[in-house]
Amino acid sequence: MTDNADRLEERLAETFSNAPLRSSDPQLAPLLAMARRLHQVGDVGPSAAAVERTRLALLRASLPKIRHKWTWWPKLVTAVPLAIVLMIIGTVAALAAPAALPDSPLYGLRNLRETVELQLAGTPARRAALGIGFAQQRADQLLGLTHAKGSSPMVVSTLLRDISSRTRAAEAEAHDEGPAARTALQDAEAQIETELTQLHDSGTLSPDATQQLENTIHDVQSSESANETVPTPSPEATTAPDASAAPAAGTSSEPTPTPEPVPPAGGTQ
Amino acid sequence: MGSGDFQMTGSLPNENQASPEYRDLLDRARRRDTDAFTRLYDATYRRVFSYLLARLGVQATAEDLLQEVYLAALRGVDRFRGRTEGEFIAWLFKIAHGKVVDHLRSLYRHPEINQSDVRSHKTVNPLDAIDERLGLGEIAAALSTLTEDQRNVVLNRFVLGFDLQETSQLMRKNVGSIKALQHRALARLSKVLRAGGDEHD
Repeated sequence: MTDNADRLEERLAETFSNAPLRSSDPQLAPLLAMARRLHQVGDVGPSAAAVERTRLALLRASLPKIRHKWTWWPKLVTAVPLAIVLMIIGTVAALAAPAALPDSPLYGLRNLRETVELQLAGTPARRAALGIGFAQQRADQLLGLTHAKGSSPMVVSTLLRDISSRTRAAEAEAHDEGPAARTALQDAEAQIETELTQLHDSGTLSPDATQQLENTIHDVQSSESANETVPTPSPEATTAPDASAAPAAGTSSEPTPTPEPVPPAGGTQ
Repeated sequence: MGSGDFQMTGSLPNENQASPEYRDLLDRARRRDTDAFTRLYDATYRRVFSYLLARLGVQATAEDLLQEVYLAALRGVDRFRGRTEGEFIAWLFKIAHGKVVDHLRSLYRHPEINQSDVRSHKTVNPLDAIDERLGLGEIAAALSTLTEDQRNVVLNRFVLGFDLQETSQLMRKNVGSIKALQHRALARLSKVLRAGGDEHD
């Protein structure tokens, strides 16, 4: 078998090198013919159309990948500046919100931010301090606005309403706290009352606004008085007309109508 | 290669050496460089087609599968780890073998569809003249009667033009085994085809 295989290899070499065959071998002749026939198959190539068709198919198959490879660029180019703009807007809004007035779209953000801060405050004393601080900010703003004579009735009304609500909420938080927290609250309330009384005396507000201002001053005074009476009732507190008349702090949602005019500035000091 | 060995269409350049140029070409193709893959296609399509034609016996079908082979290669080239031209061609033949098996399996499963397919080829395809002149269908059928090793030897040596040494390396067998397989394969083929011819006569 090995000899036959070697002889076949020699004859194949002669056949395909076009050299003259050294001898005819009847046993190997059909095998050589078969090899030549197979060789002819190898000579057949694909049609030019098929070659080009495949080449185009390869190009087409490559294109989506290339496109896919680069499609994230335009998205990135759009997304990054958009993210930066949003961050800037968010930062500006967050910074501007604490000073926003009720006629500003940011005033809602200011209220939301304050609510979140109050909820995150760890203790009632801290919440009371924060709440009265927010009321104080509004009183400052209100005074500044009337001095500048640029306040609208809606702005004044909303600020007064929120001063009342923040003060009552602060009072409720400080109700069961120690003397230090209550004293701090009273000091802040006294300052708010002073500012509101100055505003009242300036006479720059409309009659409706003046009425609401008087109610707010009454709320602040009521809170102050209640603060003084809760821990250790004193003779002065029990004799104070506003302290006995005022409901418990934080329980009234509407200001109690005040029968008497608000005392002049410095009257409670 | 011994002095008695024959060599038909020339061996692959740098068959067993990873030439820097070819390695670079393969690397670029792996990175989806269309130009690099097209160059690989231009260098190899002729051999892949010969393999397909010998196995299928129908030129039009071989051309269709040629496209499928290269599209599959394009999809999978990033997973190909070879570094030489020989390894790349061997990988292409492996893909081509898979496509041939799939095609023959579909012929077996749906003979009615494929018969009509063949008829339509016969009426419209001028390349059928080549098929008939060379008896490609008979050769493909005869090749299918060989063992896988025998078939690979005759395909590598006579259709694809690899010499004894290259065939031995591609098939990971010694030269003596290749010679023996070659002898048995040619004997078997000539017997099958002669018998077929006698039947027709």
